[in-house]
Amino acid sequence: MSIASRRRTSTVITYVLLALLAVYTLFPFLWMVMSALKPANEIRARTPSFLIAAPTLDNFVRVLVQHDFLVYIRNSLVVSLAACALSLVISLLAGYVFSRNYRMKAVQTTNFAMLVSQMIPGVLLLVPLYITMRNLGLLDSYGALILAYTTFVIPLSTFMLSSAYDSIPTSLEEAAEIDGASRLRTLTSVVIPVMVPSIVSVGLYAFITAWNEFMFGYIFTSTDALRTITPAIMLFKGANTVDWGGLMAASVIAVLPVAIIFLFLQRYFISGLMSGAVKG
Amino acid sequence: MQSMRVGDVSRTRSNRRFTILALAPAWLFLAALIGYPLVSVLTDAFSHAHLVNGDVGGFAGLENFEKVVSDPHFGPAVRNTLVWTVGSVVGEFVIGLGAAVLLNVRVRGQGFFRVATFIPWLVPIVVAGMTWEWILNPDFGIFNSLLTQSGLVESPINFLGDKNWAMATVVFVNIWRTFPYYTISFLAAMQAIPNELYEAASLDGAGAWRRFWSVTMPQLRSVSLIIVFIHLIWTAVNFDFIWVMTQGGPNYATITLPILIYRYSLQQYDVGAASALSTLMLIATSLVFVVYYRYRRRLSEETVG
Amino acid sequence: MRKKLIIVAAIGTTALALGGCSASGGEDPDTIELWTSWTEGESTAVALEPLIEAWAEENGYTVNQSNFTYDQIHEKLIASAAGGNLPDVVWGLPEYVGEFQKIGVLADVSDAWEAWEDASLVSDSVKAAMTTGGAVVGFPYETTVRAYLVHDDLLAESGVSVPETWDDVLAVGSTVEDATGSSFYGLTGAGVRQPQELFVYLAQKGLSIAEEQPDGGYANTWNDDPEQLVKATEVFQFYADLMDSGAVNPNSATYGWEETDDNFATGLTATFVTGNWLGEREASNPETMGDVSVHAIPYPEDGEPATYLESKPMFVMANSESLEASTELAEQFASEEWQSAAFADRSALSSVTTDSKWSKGFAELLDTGVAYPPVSLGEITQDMQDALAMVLQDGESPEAAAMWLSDAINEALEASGDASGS
Repeated sequence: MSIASRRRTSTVITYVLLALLAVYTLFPFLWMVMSALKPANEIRARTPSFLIAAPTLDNFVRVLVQHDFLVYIRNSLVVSLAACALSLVISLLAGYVFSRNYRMKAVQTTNFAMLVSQMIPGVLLLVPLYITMRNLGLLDSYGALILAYTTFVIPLSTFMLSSAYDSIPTSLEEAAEIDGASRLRTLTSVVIPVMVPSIVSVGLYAFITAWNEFMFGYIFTSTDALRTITPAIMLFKGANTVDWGGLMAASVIAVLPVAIIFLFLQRYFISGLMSGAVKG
Repeated sequence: MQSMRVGDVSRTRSNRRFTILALAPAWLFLAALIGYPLVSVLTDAFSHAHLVNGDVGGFAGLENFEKVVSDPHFGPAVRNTLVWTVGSVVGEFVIGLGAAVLLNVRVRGQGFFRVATFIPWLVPIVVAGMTWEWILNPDFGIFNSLLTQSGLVESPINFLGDKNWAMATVVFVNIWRTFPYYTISFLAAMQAIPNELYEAASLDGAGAWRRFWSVTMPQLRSVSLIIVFIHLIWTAVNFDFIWVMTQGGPNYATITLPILIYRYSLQQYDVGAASALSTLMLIATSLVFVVYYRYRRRLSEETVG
Repeated sequence: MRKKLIIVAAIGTTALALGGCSASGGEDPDTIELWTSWTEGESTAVALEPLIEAWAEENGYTVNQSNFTYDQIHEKLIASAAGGNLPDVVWGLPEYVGEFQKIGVLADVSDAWEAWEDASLVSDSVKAAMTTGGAVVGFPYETTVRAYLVHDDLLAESGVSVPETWDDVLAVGSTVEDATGSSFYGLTGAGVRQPQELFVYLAQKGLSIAEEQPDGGYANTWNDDPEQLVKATEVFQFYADLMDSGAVNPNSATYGWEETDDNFATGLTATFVTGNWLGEREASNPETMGDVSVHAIPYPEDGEPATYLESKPMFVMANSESLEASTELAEQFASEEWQSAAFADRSALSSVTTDSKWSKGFAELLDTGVAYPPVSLGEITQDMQDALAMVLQDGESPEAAAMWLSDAINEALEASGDASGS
């Protein structure tokens, strides 16, 4: 087989596999989109179908106009962005010493404490966290959610970033140190710039965790003005009836902004873009 | 270790100060929010504690632990938790890694495929659970309708209502929702692999397969380790996924320890029993941590020396 | 540089957020915090919002109303009961009465009830559903019973008449399915509605899950009385026979109300016991919902008709700073004016009905309505689901399930402090 034809074959195989992967991941989401576009008399029909006899945008209009979803999206954005930025700052610092000073007792203790913090089931956090927020005077404010979500994501963010630091040789820092730069200065101007892909992926993780969190979103806040998007979606499920059209439209609306953000950020994962910056 | 030089003492001291300062913000957050719940779980485990009624109290010794361990659902819940955790994490790792390798190949439409892969992770768990429940329904679910129309199965399968299928089904859905995070992390880590390594391997005559095993995999060890261990913990304590889809049913076929904990605390208000069960889980996962930390150190040593 | 910007932004946003106002309705005497569970833009919401606003203006109060699902209300209330900061007025479910009373958050509104001008329009069974430990703790804002809904066309097609007794149902067996492809009868096997359904079939046999004892505690007495145990066994036997007779879709052994209601609305099930919210499905499933008639629930030959009375209580919180006004607001929701405006087809007031079958056909069954005893139900309803699963999924004998359930209920009553002698 010639090299050209082998390359063609491998490209075809790649596309086939990618297509299979896309079907697997998109199938339920497509079902959500289709259902959101169906009028009420088609949505929970006896025979399910991907075809829509009379597609309509009514569900989306209802969700955005009647249900204040723009407010909920704004709230979710504020909370998620703040939690994302805050946790990145904290875990970029902590992750660095996790990687470079892993022998220190303080680092080992912190590492263990962070893991233990992940081991408590959410339902047992419900009352203690509520009481904590009340004592801090943060109930019914963005603060309660930002504080909680930041704390939830710090451990994994720190571990992931420390692993990213691990793959960066210390020679970079040593060179900067000889030039007389301070530790923090070295970190921000020399080390962090070559970690962009990892920072993007960790930032996305923090953002999505906050964006999709369900329980504390409605436990800590009691006013419509502060409602975030996931608890709001559940309002379409009543005690005896479910508004499937509204539920699906709201879910699609919740997914889209984040998908668009990701579309812009995914170029940071293009192979070869960064690897030139790191010299082993 | 390097040989001692003049100024090393002050360097060590400033290094220590820098470490403490760098860790301080993380400590502040963890102490403020996780410290109190953790202490209350550990103390409630040995006390008579009621979720709402403060009059219930007093030292309980090991009573809560006895209650939990003698619960007829305890054994099945332990087994299910293991199946659920190991099954999910293995599936997520394999599919996540395969997808990362595929999505790292330069092809047209790469951006589209990456977003497509990423989408399940953007769907809130409660919504994902409800949607899958609908899709998999034997009477009006699209999946069964496709299966029967294409002649693959004779009669619809009650995926979530048949105890032989239920556990596999919730694991499948969990994998679907969670694997994209592995993919993203692997993609990010792959960017840090110097091209020279691949070039050198190619010169040695290594094919794509060999290059993957001898160059890519070793570079992904550190990230894999972290993701796998944290997901082992997360999956073990995860409650909402199974709750939304099966509530631990049909007839306890998918009951896991977190669902038992939920029942103790929010159905019976017995925080003592819920905390005792959590404490048992804490001990088990702490053992896992010991293993993790050993490997983690070895990897750091290879880098920092 | 970019890094610095991010840090500044993060600190700025956090500071802003932390400085955000923190309203706590339960602690401000001029503000009433109200938790409801209606759907934005639906007729109930459209009717109630101006009424609440007018009431607030008239009485000089601010009413902070927010919507949650019932599950969210339940969890929020538990959290704020443990951590303080309760709201003032809350929409509840009948399942919460005993439980919330036990944790001491409910105000006793007996005096307000006595003075309430519309009280005479409320049946004793509804009042009993609002009462626990001798105190009235809620006002009925939404009241429905279950009825036996029938797709007339499907029955006509199969040559089957509407069954009146359990035996009639079993006699039909798979006739309807063979003729039309739709299951004949429906049952719910999981979720909140399953215990409600089981509770009704038990009541038709004259049984209760827990009866009040002379000392004010509650107990399940099936295992102490052979006659009761026989009856309880017959109820579980009926479920098993339903499955065996081919009258029921076997998948429904694990279905919750979401699936069973849908199956009736789309005609996959020919007859089903459910509530009048199915009236909404006339709009979404016009082809299949045109032939529905409303009947009494089939009952056993040696028993009596019964149906589940779901009267939802409007709770007032005991430690409310504005107790009097909050009680008055709760009472308003149950008043003739508000009920006619927002709950015309699902009101506890005998004077409020509409002419549609979804209101009248159901209202006729109100007298046979039975409601849960006012005990903590969380564990008990779970036990009821487990007992039925034994029969439907594990093939255990009906008698074993009945005996197990009796013991399990008594254990749950013991644990929650509702048991007799505790």
